[in-house]
Amino acid sequence: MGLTTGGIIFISCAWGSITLLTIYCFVKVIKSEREDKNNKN
Amino acid sequence: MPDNNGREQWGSKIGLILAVAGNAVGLGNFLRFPVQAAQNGGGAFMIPYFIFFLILGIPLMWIEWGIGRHGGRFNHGSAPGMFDVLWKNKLAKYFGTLGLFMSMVILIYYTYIESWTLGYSIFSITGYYFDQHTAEAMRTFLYSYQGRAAGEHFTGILPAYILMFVTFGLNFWVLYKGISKGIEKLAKVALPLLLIFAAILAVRIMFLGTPNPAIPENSVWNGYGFIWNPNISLLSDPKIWLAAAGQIFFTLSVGMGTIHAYASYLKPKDDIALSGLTTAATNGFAEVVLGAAIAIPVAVAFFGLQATQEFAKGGAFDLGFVSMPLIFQRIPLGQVFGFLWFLLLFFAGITSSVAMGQPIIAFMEDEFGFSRKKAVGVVAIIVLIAVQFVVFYQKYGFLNEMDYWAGTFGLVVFALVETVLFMWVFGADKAWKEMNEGGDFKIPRVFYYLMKFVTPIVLFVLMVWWTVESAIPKLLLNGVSNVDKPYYWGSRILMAVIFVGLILLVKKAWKNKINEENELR
Repeated sequence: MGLTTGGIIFISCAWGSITLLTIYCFVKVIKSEREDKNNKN
Repeated sequence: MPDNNGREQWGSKIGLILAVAGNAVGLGNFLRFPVQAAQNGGGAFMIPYFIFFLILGIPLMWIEWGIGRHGGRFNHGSAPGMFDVLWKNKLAKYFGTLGLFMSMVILIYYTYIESWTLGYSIFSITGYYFDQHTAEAMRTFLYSYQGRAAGEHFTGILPAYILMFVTFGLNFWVLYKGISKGIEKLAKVALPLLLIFAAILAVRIMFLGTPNPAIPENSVWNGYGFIWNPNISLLSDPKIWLAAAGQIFFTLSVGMGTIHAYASYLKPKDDIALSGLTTAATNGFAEVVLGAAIAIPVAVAFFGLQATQEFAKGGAFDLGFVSMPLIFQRIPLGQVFGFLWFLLLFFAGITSSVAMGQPIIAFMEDEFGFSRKKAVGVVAIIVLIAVQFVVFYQKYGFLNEMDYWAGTFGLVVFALVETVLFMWVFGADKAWKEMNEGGDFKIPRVFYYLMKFVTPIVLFVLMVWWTVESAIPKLLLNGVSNVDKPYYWGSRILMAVIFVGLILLVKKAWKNKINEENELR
């Protein structure tokens, strides 16, 4: 059986979208926390 | 961070996000999700899964963060007080009691399940179960550990009881230390560690390939195929959609009052838009990327598709505590990988269970003026008494009954109540403003309509479906043996006592407040 073409498409879309969203969010959080600290200083 | 009306506060934004993500990432991410995906159309399951992530999961996250931060502004860290400020009606606070009830009942049995993972991490590193080579033997090992059956490794329930006590102690110690020094510190250590452990396991499993070349169909890639190959024809089956909606619901730990409690320690201008989205995304990552890459693929590689389907049908515990230990016996450094697997489950569990303890502790502190120490002490005693029934009567279905009413059906009821209260009674415009206040980004306008119309409708459909499909048969004790029936009723009586007790506490708290106000006049 293995991964069919459909399976590869689904796994790529699912893993890709959720990983990108997570990275995007954390980068934004870290940036905003840094900005907050700079503003306070 | 500056003072927050004299209440405790989070040390950092990232700490809060990790704490809420830790609350969401639980045993379900690694055990329930792969089973659900495999049983409901494989990759096709991900289509409704992502749709409900957008229209149910993320909106509920923002709603709960919004209600929580708004309640915190009025010094309320639990749902009764939060609902009371949303709806100026004397009934509002009693609806909020559901938020205390759900988290407290789940805490009672979840702590016990969590202690099994701690026990199994010890049994893994010491190789204690490594002489149990069949599923039946491994199941007997589990049952004898739980005191449900006689076995050669455990003569009684004492080891499970001691580990339950240790787990219980750890939970309440973290809760006693408080928001930033306890819960946040735990999340900052436990969540990254569990993600690292899960990543190590996922990579190790990926490179297992075909463990037995004589049986080429038993491979990791067939395991991935089992979860991810789409069966599009199943998309016309409403059960698949409801299963996906249910999974989104469970996985994000919404509908139990915990996110509200955490968000109440924010300041009025702190961001919730980005924080809510980040926690939902982190939970999704732990589930879709890591959770799907461990238990099922490795089970298919070692036992084949048919046996894995049997394990999956047996439920999450069979997969986690029966099939995985058998696999660890067969791979090099299995004791270490087994230790990592169960420790990651333990970390996933404890970051969730401390969140379940927080609402009732916040209630005691905020509404009765208890010190943290006193509030934790009182809650610990109540939970310790209640957990005895779970430990000793688990084999009769005591735990299952609590899990269904508080940990499954109750969640959707509470989520529907809070969504209607926030978006309709409090008002969608005010709620929208609250959720966007201080936001690091503006929530797209489409979510306004989703939260106001689509989310409550989906929750209502889900509630009606579950009522017909499972709540009524469960209520009538269909399929329960006569021996077990008294214990099911015992479980219901315990939950009723807790619920009525909470209602009376809420009533007393508000009565005290009215008396205090009258005295001041």
